[in-house]
Amino acid sequence: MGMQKAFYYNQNYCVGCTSCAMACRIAKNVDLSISWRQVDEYETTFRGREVARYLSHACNHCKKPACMAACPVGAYSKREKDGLVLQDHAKCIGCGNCVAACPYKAPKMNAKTKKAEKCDGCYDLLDKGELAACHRGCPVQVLKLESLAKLESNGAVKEAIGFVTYATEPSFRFEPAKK
Amino acid sequence: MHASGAAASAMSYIHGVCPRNCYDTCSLISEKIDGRIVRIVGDFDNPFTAGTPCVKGQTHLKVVYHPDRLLHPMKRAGKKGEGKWEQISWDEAYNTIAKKFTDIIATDGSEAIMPYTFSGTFGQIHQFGVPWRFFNKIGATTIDREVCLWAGLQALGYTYGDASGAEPEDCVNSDCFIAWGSDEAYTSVHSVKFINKARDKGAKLVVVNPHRNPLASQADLFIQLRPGTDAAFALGVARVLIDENLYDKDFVEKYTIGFDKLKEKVAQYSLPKVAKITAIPESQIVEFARLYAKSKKSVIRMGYGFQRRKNGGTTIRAISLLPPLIGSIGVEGGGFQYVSFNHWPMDMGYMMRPDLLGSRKVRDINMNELGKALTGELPTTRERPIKGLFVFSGNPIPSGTNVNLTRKGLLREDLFTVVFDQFVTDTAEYADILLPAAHFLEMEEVHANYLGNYIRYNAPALEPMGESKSNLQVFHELAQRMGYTEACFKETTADVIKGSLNSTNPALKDITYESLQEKHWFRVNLGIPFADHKFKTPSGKIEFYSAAAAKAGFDPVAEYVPDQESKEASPELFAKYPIHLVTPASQKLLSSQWHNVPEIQESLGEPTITINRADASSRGIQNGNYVVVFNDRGKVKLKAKLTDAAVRPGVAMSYKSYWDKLTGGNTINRLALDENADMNGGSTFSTNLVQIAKA
Repeated sequence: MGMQKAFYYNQNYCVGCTSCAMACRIAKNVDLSISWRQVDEYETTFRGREVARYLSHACNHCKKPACMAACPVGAYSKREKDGLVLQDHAKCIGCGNCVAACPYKAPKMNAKTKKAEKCDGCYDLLDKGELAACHRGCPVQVLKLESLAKLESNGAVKEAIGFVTYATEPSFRFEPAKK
Repeated sequence: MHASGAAASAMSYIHGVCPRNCYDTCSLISEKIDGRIVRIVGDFDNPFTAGTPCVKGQTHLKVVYHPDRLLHPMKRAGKKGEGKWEQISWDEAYNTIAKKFTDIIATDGSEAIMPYTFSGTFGQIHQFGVPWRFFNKIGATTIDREVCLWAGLQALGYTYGDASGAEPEDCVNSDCFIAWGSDEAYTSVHSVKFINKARDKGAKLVVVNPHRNPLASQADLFIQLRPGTDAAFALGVARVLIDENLYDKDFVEKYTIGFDKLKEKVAQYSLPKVAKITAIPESQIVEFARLYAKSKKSVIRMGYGFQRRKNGGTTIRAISLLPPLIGSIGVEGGGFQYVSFNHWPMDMGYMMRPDLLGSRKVRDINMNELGKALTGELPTTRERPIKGLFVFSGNPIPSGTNVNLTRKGLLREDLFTVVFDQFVTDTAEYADILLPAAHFLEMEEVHANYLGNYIRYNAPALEPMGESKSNLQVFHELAQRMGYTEACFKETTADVIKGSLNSTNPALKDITYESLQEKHWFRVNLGIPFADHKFKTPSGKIEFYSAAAAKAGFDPVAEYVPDQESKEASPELFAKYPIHLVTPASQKLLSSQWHNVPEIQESLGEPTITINRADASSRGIQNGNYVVVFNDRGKVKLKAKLTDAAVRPGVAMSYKSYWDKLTGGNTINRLALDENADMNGGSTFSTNLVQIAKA
């Protein structure tokens, strides 16, 4: 396995503008009935007052992907060079096992195509030397897709509001929360 | 058209600009293959855009190729507002308009014709410039386009003589950033990265706003004051700065006048009094003042929304007195931000041709009073009604004030209305003639940020779709159809750009038509504002005391004037309508632009109103219930979102300018006050008391 890529997110500074999710939708032409990336809002306490925090999330390109394990036709694979979890859409039979198996609800059932689909890490853009659409599309520069090892050596952490690390070992890291 | 017409199947890259009336005004790149744009991205080379537009701008491609684009001229084929149209030729459209306008001029005089614009697609040439050649030549009523920021502009003039403040990029040098009545996250999202660079180095973030907007949730200090009481808060802060000797005596002595008068003024603003007015505890007033005065590199960014009220000018005037007190004017990373104008000194005379009006005096009508103007509620239009209305780059339903009254005016059978737009908007429903407007990617234009000193060039990436045309084309062709023979009506966009850049102003030193085409954008270097400590005020200094303000009938220093619709100023109204409604911008709409885009609709959802849980429970309202929100101007039905903290009791928040027809007739500006602010004819959207009840 090459260098695992992971999403990095600075929850301290995200303003919930949802530009990342829209950039994803447009770049990947995602059907309006589903989203590959979404931004959730949470109410929490910060220095004694009630505040909003956001979580922008998509597929976490896990080390042990539940979708891959659950897929009866082997449609999912983990890309050798960067660990992105990709789905061979032609193979998908629409059984929905991956949708049920993923603890992060990343694969979505497209009611029109009757197949599952999810974030592909914009592997096609990466292969052209470009950034993933959400990464480029974040005007506040709080969301990135980059090397997991680099993120970890820079002190990124595994916890954030609204996010739980499951046994699938998600490739999602966070700026430590401001206290 | 340097970049179009590329060989088939080769990708071409056309540099453009998002012109949707935003502080940020992004540099875009359209990627085109086989005559079709396949992707639109932000320009990485531009440090402000930094590679991406905002959430709205992500969907430009969906707008330009929207199946609902208006592609042909239409004439009304049913009753006004009925939505029945018949396609006509441009020839018929022009002939109809020219004949109607000529008849109106002959019978009712030229001032019976009025343009309405502001703002959709911005642009130096097509929006600010050439349309006025046509209306000047006619001698039409002038529309005062004072919806945005004008009250504050007058106020800053009293203090500094000039409103141009710190560049957003300079905020990386700040030790304290104060977002006062502004919402960078939703209305200027590209500036947030600069603020965050400063925060990474330890800068403090302060937000003053009745609504807990996204940055307020992150702030080190959040001042959630009662709407419309900002002036009292500012004067309270000034009092602490002076009482605690936190002010910069040297700066005040050298560069200001009227400090003694300011001292007398703030003596009237004891902290208990300010706390009572603003509903902010005394301790927070003191905390704000101490934090602010800690470093001269403290910048105050003032928004527009909170200034769109009857006391908007006096509010900005009060806040504007704080930076000189701590000596932050002319300092890197300090000062204030409101709007930047000084980097775009194009020759407006060349573009607008006021000489075509000549010595004729024509009346002004404020766009904020459109409904009154059309219904004869203004004295001037009672005597001399508007008979011909030409709406372009604007959509007063739902973006303007008192939408119900505007609708009543637009329904007048004796009013001839032309609407020139890309879509059949709410306003377009009332047109007699509909004209198809080109999308911004289909025309050449020059743009400027209005915070940040960029001038940008938009090269046309496509031919106008269908039979759509640019503003210049339509107004020039219509002028010729009216029989106007001036040579200016034969100019092309390129001619006008060249002519209006023919200036000796040093800001335009490197900027020519050719260099704009080559470089796509320029950052005009104006240095730190007021670094020379020269001010264009009557005294040449910063004026804590302004004789000009006094002469205009304002307090010469500053004053908290209770807003027209408030418990203090209108107790009877307050008894009926006890909730202050604030209507800021959503991040997903810019005025009414983008609401008809399916991707935006999916993300935006239906309009909601955020209500404090205390106000909800006393009204039996639960989260997700439908409620009616009403005042004497109108009534809308919205879904309630309950909160403990996003707004305080007595305040409600609903994002503005959802389309009326896309929300079943529930656009929030049905409730908006249509008066003029205290200064400069500014708008009064935020002076808005309402009542809320379970639907």
